[in-house]
Amino acid sequence: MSGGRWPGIALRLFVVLVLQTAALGWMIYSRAELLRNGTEVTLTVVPVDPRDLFRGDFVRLNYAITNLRPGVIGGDSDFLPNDPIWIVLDTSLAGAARPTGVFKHQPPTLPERTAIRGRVQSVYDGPPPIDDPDGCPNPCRTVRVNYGIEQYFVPEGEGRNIENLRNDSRISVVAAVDSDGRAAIKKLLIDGVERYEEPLF
Amino acid sequence: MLDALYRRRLEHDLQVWRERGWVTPEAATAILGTVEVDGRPRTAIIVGFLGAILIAFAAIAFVAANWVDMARPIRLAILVGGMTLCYGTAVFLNRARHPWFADAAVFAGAALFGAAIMLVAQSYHISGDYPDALLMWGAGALFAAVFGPSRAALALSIIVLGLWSWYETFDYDWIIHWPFLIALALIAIVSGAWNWRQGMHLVVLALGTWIAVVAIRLAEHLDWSAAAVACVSMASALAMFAAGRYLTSRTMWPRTGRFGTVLSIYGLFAFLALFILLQLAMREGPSPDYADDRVALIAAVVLAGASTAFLIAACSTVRAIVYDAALPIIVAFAAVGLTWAASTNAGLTDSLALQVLLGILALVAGIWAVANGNRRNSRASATFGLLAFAGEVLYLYFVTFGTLLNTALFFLIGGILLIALAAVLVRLQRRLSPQDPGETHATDAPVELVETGDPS
Repeated sequence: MSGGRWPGIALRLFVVLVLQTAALGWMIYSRAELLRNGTEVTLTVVPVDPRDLFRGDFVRLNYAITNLRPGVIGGDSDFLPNDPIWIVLDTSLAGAARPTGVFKHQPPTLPERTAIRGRVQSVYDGPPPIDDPDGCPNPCRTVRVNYGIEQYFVPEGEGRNIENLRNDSRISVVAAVDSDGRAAIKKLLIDGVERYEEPLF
Repeated sequence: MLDALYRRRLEHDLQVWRERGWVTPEAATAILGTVEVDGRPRTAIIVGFLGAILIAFAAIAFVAANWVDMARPIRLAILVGGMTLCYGTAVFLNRARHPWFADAAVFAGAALFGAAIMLVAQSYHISGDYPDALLMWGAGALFAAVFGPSRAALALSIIVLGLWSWYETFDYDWIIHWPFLIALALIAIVSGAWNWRQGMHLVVLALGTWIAVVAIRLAEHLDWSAAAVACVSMASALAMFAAGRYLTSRTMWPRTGRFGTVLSIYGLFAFLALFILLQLAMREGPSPDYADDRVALIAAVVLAGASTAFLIAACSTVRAIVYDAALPIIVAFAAVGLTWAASTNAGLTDSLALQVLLGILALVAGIWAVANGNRRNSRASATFGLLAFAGEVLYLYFVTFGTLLNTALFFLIGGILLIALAAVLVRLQRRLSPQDPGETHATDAPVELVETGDPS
């Protein structure tokens, strides 16, 4: 197994160590860059099914833009699971950003608009919503999107508290979004007041 | 361990042979010299591994206990420090001529890399697509395995990449997660290059699981009936067996040949097992919907055709084709044909006649596997054949249960047929033997790498 034809084992394992450390460093660096340079977007956090029990020390965050109805918002609608998806957010008003279009490809950049990228997790065609039957024509298509910002790790013991606040709809998140549409959680707001802000490193 | 047992037995046999004057003492020494017991301190390796795992858990628990109070850069430093320690230990152990412990240390480093990815993701709230984290871990483990080199790290990379494919398939709705095949091919090349048998088993197991998952996903997506899924899976198992046989027959590729042996063993097992599953699926009474099942049945025919090509290409003589290839090909095509007939003809679907016809095919397949195992000195093939035969007889007994007269009649006819077959075989053997003395074992498979037991 340990033949002498290769360069020495020390050199080989050093290369492995450097590559693996570089991978970890890249994870952290790319996120720091994202937080530093990304456009800030405020996202409303919606309650999660209360049966989804608190797991470990992270809180699951579902956003108002997690479940989208392309038929209502406009744009493309022929999504399949696993497809990339771009959501154009209107950031012109104070408060939470509003989705103005969903697309299969990266849309051109416009002023006061930020495009966030996600991955389609599932697509569901169902009856129109009861509260607004005309708002979404039958069959009403709902696309569930994963943005990679659905988990927030909190110090041990604080998770339950934040979960309760989440289920009372008192939490919103400020995400940084870069020009490729990638997002990272920058701040956690409770009742619109900054509660946690992420350091870069 | 098996090598040591074999050596002990060989020593005993050589002793007897020397006393009878069949071998000279020099020859005996030379023969013993060919059986190298690799001398790995296996128990020590396992105990060492367990020790490494305990230390790793202790480290993780200690870090987790103090995690919240640490600044994030310090956390990262601890993780990288742990990895450095593992790889440094590997270098040290390798220089101290403990390559197997060095292997364990590289494994620990690769495992810690995975823990580091998870902990960094947690510290920095990077959830991303979590299969991506598994992909990164698997790739890192594969790197460590190749550069180490470390067999344990390679096994780790198969498991982690398998999990990656699993989550991609089920959480992101891939139907055929083909990227996994690229990863698996890389791992297969490494195990082949190392000539590492257990690694080949892992690769083939992973491939088999992947094929099963793909078949189930396709069935869900295209509304196939259970019978169609079983049929197409059976055909792919035969294709796996045939591809393995073909690789084994190419003596100029000795390493892929070893892969071929492993591939054909699992393929044969799956082929025989799926035959019984196919009958069970038929009994479920699939609502025959030819329109939905057509794609599956065409795929089954194509796979059976590919198996035919591989099996025939693996044989060097017409006689070998008759012995080794003809029966499984006929059985597979007949089974696909019966499934096809059942899916277009509602009357046949849940009938006893169909079960009995399929049962006869399964019994023939079992007998062929036993004969094939004896001919080619493959104990696995003979055992699987016997198991399949016994299982099928039991199955038929349950199917025909309630009509005891039918059961009795069926087994009576079956028994007569088997005895007749035995008589024909004996005559055939007698007629063929004089032309080719000593022909009891395969002539077309000079390199049969199956672990052999008694040649009898």
